[in-house]
Amino acid sequence: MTATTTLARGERLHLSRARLGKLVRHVIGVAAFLLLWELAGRTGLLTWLPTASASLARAVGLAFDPAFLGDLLSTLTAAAIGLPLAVLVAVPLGLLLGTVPVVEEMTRAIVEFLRPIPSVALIPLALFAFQPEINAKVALIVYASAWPILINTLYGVRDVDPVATETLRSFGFGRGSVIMRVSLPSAAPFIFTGIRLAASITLILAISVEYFVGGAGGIGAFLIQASTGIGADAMVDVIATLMWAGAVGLAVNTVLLRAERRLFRWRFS
Amino acid sequence: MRFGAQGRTAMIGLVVTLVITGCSSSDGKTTEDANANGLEKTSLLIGQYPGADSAPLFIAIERGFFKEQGLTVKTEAIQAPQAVLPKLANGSMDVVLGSYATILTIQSQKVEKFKYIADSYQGAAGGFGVMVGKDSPIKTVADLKGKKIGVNSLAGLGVLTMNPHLKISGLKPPPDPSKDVTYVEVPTTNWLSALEKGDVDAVWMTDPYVSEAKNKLGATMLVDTMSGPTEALPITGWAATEKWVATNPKTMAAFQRAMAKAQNIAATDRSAVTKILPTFTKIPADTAATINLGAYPTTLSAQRIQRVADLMHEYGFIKEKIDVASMIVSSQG
Amino acid sequence: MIRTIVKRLWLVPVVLVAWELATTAAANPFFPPPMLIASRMYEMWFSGPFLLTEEAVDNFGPSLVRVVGSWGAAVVLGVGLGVALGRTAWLADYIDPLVEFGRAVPPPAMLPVFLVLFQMGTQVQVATIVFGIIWPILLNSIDGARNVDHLQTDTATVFGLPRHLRLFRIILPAASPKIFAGLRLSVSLALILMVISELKGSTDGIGYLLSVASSNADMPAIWAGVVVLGVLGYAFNSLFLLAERRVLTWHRGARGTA
Repeated sequence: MTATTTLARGERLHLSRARLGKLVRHVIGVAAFLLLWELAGRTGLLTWLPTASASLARAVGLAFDPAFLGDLLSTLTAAAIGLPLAVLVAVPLGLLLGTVPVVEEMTRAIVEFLRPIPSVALIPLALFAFQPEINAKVALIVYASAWPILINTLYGVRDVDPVATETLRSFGFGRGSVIMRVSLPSAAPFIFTGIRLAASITLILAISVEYFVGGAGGIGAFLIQASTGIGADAMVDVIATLMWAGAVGLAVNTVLLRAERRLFRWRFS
Repeated sequence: MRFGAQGRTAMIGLVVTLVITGCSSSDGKTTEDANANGLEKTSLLIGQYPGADSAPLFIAIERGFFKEQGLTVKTEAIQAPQAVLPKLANGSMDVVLGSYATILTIQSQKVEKFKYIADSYQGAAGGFGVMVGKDSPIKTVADLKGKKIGVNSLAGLGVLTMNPHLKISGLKPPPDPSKDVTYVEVPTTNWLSALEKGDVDAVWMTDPYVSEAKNKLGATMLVDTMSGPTEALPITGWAATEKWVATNPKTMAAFQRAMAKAQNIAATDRSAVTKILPTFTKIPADTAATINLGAYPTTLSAQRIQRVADLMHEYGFIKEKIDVASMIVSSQG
Repeated sequence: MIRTIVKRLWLVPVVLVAWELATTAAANPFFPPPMLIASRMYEMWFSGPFLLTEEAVDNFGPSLVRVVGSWGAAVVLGVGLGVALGRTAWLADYIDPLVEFGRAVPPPAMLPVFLVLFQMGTQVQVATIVFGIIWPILLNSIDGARNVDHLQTDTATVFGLPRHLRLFRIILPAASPKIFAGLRLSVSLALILMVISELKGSTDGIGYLLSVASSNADMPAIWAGVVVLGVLGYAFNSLFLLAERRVLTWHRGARGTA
């Protein structure tokens, strides 16, 4: 905080100009992509894919569709409950596995067996075990999004500078306080990247579950509805919905990235 | 503790929410009072595949037939009954609209025991068939030898109704090891594009896709799969688990009464169906108006459905014969 | 040797026995006991003349080729693009929003789109897998390449180290722990995406078998598929860790954490 307040005015101006330039480049990148897509559609290169303009127009239309907004809200709710739970489960486990090699070795077989099991294949089991559907959705979200957090925590803790931990040890700090004072803070950027990865997984999973099961609501259920249209009509709806999914993911990621930059400014300086 | 403007808004929001939820819980009591006819439960969750099959359900909802019976009905769009099987098994979903082929498959696997509580949809000429592209070299069913055919599901109605026609033309459908034809699962969104791009040699379609393929791609129907050995085959019906039927007999009867009324309308008034279709699917109104519909049977007949079970047994969908009569719980008035 | 194996694997039989006891007690068709699953797996896949049955050969083979090939493609693409983006700030600015956007699109829902864009079969499958798994590789490569110690790169510049040497001697090694974290995530993701890519529009593969099993509501067969995926995932991950240990030895050695 103090760093920004003591910045000279000229520097601040420079900063905001840099930020503006970045934003312009962001916009140009997206615009170029959309233009290519539109051209490919207009020239008949992509026959069955709706054009960028048609998809965008439909996506904008969805913003005023109360049915869609309701679905969006229910997907976001499940994701918003699932992510913090995944963090609560995965970070302590990652710290444990990362700092106590014996435990890691013991559980490695089970962990590596469970990890690649597609959450999609677990949908029927979760639906059966967790009564209200939102709980089943959340359970699957936690299962799938805990892995990147766990793995990143594990890698982060292992990558801690051994000199630092040894130094603290030699000053007589116990294992617990070494973890809290050195391992956790220095692994924090890794962990946060894991959380950022997990955030998009939570959204993806929520939508996938809704898409495979149907269900009371959510973007996935909206997709089922959309696919009852015919040919190109159905595709426009599908792509507009996917655009929303991407946009929401982008927004969530931007927020998390901002937080990451602010929290770990020392790493980005 | 200090609240900013935002904090105050949030507090007000919270209070408002509490008041509203308080009101709605008192509403809950009034619905219980309305339950004078002794229904075991008044609110039902119903799984349905959005399409012509479920039109009577939406007619019943729109015209208040469920309300007359003291039922509040919520619907969920599903892809296939297998996906919601766990919800039916643990009681969080009450009734499901399923193709007879699917429900009988589940029954034969003994994963769950189902009862049919109402018929819904039955095949009719013109609306279901194997489509081939405009200049396709495939002119007869026998030409399908060695070809790939797109279907909605690998163990569904399409495959079931195609097999007898293949057999007549001397082809051996899977699971026969000769691999005369290969079935490929293609999502409905990709039926038209898969046919046009040549990803598959033929696609089994239902209307409105049939008409769309004819109009847009110049495709032709190689064989109507609701003709000959498969003429007027039952397609979908309403099913509930044996346990649900046993514990909710009155609720089931109320559901049957409401659906019977709607089914009568669907059976006699075509425009009622074509008008309701665009409200719960993405089928545009003008397409819906000219759609080739199946039939809406008003009675639940074990004999008719037994044909499906026998066909499934003949083509290896199920290992042992099923006596459909034991699965029928017909309307008790 | 034996002691480490025992130490690593003793938990496995314990879990298996607990699972058998719990599922037998529950007698729920959704949760068949592991013995039943195992006998089903044997009957379907491992009772052939040379261990594997025809069904196993016809489906496991194509799946493995698909997943390994697509993973390779995703690694080349992801690391290449990621390092380029991580080292070139202006380029990253143009691409960043698209990357974040693509990452948030659910791959199963992309399947209809890929089915329209590509030829059904191998093309669609490779596209689905690469699209689904490239993000952690790309993201971690960008992050890793971006945060290389300035002291190191500056020193290299001062000493006039040529570009390719700077890439292979400094940037890639320094970014490798992060890149490998991404690769490891992608290995198990690849299997998941392989299954998804084979659910629709496919005529063989493990995902296809799962799709058949689930349309037949055949619970033991579904579980058998899940177990095969777990075993494959374990095998892939072990191979990956072996490779990683080789590659990262240099890095760990330098940091003294081997």
